[in-house]
Amino acid sequence: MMSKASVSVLLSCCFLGPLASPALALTGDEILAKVEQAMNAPKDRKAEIKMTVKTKDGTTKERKMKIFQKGSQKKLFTFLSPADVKGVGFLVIDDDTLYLYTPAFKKIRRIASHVKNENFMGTDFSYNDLSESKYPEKYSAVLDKTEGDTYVLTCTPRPGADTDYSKMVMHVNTKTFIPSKVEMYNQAGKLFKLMNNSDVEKADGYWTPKHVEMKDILSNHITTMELVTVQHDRGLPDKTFSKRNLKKVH
Amino acid sequence: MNRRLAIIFAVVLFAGFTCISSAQAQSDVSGFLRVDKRFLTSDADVPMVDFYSKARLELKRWMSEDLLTVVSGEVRFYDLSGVSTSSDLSRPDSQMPFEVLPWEIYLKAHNLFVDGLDLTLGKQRITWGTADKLNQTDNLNPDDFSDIFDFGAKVPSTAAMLAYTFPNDWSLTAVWIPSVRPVLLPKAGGFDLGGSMDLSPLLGGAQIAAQEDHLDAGLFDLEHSMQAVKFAWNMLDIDFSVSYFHGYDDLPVPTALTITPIDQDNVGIRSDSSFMEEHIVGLDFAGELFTVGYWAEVAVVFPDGASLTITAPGPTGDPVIQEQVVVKDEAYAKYTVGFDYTFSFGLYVNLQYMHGFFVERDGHELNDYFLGRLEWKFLDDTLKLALGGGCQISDWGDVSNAYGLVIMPEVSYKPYDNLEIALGAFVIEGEGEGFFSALDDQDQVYLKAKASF
Repeated sequence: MMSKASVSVLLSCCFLGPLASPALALTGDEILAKVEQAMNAPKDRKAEIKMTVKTKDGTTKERKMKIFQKGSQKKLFTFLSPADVKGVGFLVIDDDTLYLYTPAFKKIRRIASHVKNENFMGTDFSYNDLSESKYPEKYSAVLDKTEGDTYVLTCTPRPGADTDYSKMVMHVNTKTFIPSKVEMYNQAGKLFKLMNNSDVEKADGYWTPKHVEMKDILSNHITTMELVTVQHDRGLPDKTFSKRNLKKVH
Repeated sequence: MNRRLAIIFAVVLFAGFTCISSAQAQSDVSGFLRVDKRFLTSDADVPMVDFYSKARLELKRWMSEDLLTVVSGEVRFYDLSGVSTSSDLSRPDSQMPFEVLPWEIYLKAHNLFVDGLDLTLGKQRITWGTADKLNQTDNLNPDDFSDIFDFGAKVPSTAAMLAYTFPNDWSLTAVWIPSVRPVLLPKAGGFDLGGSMDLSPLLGGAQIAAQEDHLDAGLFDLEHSMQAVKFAWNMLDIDFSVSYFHGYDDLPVPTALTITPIDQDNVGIRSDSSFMEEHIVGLDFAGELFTVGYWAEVAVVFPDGASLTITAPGPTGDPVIQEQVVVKDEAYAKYTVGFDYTFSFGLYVNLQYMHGFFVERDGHELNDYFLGRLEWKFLDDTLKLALGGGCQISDWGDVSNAYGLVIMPEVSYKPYDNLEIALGAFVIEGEGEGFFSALDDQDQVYLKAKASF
């Protein structure tokens, strides 16, 4: 199962920030802050995503979702397919206020944070993955080296921070501040997830990878995420991120 | 409308809507087929329960950005033939019993007149309350007991709902339901409406030769409409709502029992039932404490009260009239509290305590129920093990003779998307009065398969 930091990076790569100029003598923390800044640069985003989950026995499952985001916290997700989860919606108001809408029961339920590390509706997203995106608050970063147009950062949890990873090694593009590769280590210090981004294009002035691959090395599980459509800065009102709209949106 | 007309109506409606829907980009067709086979294990012959499988179709169309229309219906088809006479052999509907039910048929207009004001008109499911299925304040739709083990199921009912959502997502909702909506009971019967009583002292040794059952259908009119209002808000990161409901209990209460002599050895019995008027004030809230989810829901019921008039022949042959109180004219509270938590290794735990089950009325007749469910998914979520269960205590001073236990193990398998196959059981044990103990002879094993589209 992908965990929070990994998919937050993955999501961030689907909604990358503005083209930034490379800066000299940036520290690791400054680079990580720029990654965060790039992630949340657009005022809002609306996207359609296709996710394909491939298990170690070769079975594949496909999920389509519509995603709305405003700022760094407010998010609304709704499943478009498959049929057995179609219409299921997930609203994130802030880190501790989450709601789930299940159309079969016509009901919105408050979701407590104990579910945050669980995967969401059969996908490799955890609830935490979908609700969190603040790396600099949770990780401190050290710049290991610069290789051509790539910064290599080692990110470790800040004291007291609740994180799923003991370490992340992040390869960041020096021009766009898009992570091109992220290695994630579990609490035992073992590498267990690897993320690669590709097909980076500009959308509404923001660099956006159209294809993201996440590999769970321990379970030999691969999730690919394709951005079908994306729109930025369309002036999504706050009411988009309401319980009322959670039932309405499709 | 008779059955045949209802079917024709449904088919025409669906066909017409499908034609319209298929031509529109903002239209959507979805549904499912659920095959459900149940076997009674408390009987040595292990008979198949005459339970239904069903197919549901939902057609949705956005007429504009703010106007939604929904039509859904389902066909329930039963396992056992309804043939009872040789002439039934020529009747397909006896050979293959089925029911066609319009489920939800409504339109919803968003942002009507002002931004944030939504009007929903038509047959609809209105969900109130924050508990997990065991909602004490969810009284706008009648109970659906057609599957007695599907606790908390409701039937949509015709209503007008006006909801205004404030910019901060607080909301005020008002509902009007045109008339009393009665409960839906299991087709196979066997459901005690609370009117059962020992008649032998009244019969004086006579046999019951004729029975009549009358329900007060005079309440199904506009004069007996129902109203409700709810205000929902968030404070201190806790979701609250308060509600008020004025209407009629969906479960009829017995109002009269008349025993009339037919001859020296036989009597006829007529029973009358009606729907009791009541007012319900509700409060519910949900939040989290140290990552544990919690919820609580209370409904304070102010019943009008109901009494049963028993008329029976006395020793001299003259009728003797007795009055019995069925439901006291006293307020009582039904409530549910619950918690849920997911452990780091993936085990989900849901525990609820319920004072007063859906079928229970009157403050002196409410029992205590403890219900729980454990779920664990593995093998890439293709396999799920679940263990549900409940315990009912009717008399804390004599638990061994006033209890009910139900255990519901289930294993479900999702070989691929849109298909789920489940094998499970209902194991029930009990003594005395109460919902679970009344089902003591209903031990069942089931096999279900659900395909979604």
